Amino acid sequence: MIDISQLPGLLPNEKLVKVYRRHPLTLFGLYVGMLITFIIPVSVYLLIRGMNIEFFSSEAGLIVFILFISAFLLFALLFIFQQFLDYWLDIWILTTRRIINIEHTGLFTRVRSEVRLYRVQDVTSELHGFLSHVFNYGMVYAQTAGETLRFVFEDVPDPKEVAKIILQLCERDQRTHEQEITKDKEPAYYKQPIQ
Amino acid sequence: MIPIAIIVIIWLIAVAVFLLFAGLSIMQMLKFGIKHPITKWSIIIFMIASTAIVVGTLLFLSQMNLQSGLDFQPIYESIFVI
Repeated sequence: MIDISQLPGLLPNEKLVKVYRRHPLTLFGLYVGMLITFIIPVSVYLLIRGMNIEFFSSEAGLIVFILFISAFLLFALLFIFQQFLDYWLDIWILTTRRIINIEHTGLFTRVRSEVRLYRVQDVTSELHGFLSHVFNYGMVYAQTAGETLRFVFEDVPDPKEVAKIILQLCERDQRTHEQEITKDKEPAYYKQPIQ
Repeated sequence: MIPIAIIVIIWLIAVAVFLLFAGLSIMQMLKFGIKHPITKWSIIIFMIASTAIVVGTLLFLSQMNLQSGLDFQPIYESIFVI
């Protein structure tokens, strides 16, 4: 799991609540890709045998075919690994004081954004589409005060529950934040010990 | 007639490009992937599968005669003439 002390700008009393990722079903394209990757070499081989092309019955032809299939499999494997990397490295970290989103796009682009929970005003969960309803995954939008941009949890499992947890944490963090502000506003002589 | 050695060299270049991107991807996974068995196992499976493909191809090549040449005449005839 994530060691919260490794996160930059750790806040007082901050604890990890949960780490969210997209629902595994959103990797459906990847599963299909994997299947095709294994089907293509076999079907090409069967097609060539069926066509009875003399070229591939020679040793040189066989070498070319094997080298082509080998290169194809390597790059298909790399593509699958990078798709998984993209899925696995996109995370939403929910702590008792903030939401952190780390998004990995491409091989060298990594975007990290965060929002303090006391600033969140409205949380919306959305299930959109047939698969989303059947497998219970969807979007969660956390709207912050005075900003048009929303913090989006994409395709997370059980969005209703996620929204509920965020709202509970927001209420708690708002109280904590108000207490912190009140403490800071106290005149300096209040903080001095009585002699 | 194209010597098979040239096709093998092209394949080796492709493998080098693959290794470069595979190395970068693994580096990203190790650097940013959180401590989790899936992080570790995905890298291990990827490395085993890639090694199996490369080693399997090299073993196949070691049993072949790389001095031969590739003649496109038979494929041309089998597709277009017949």
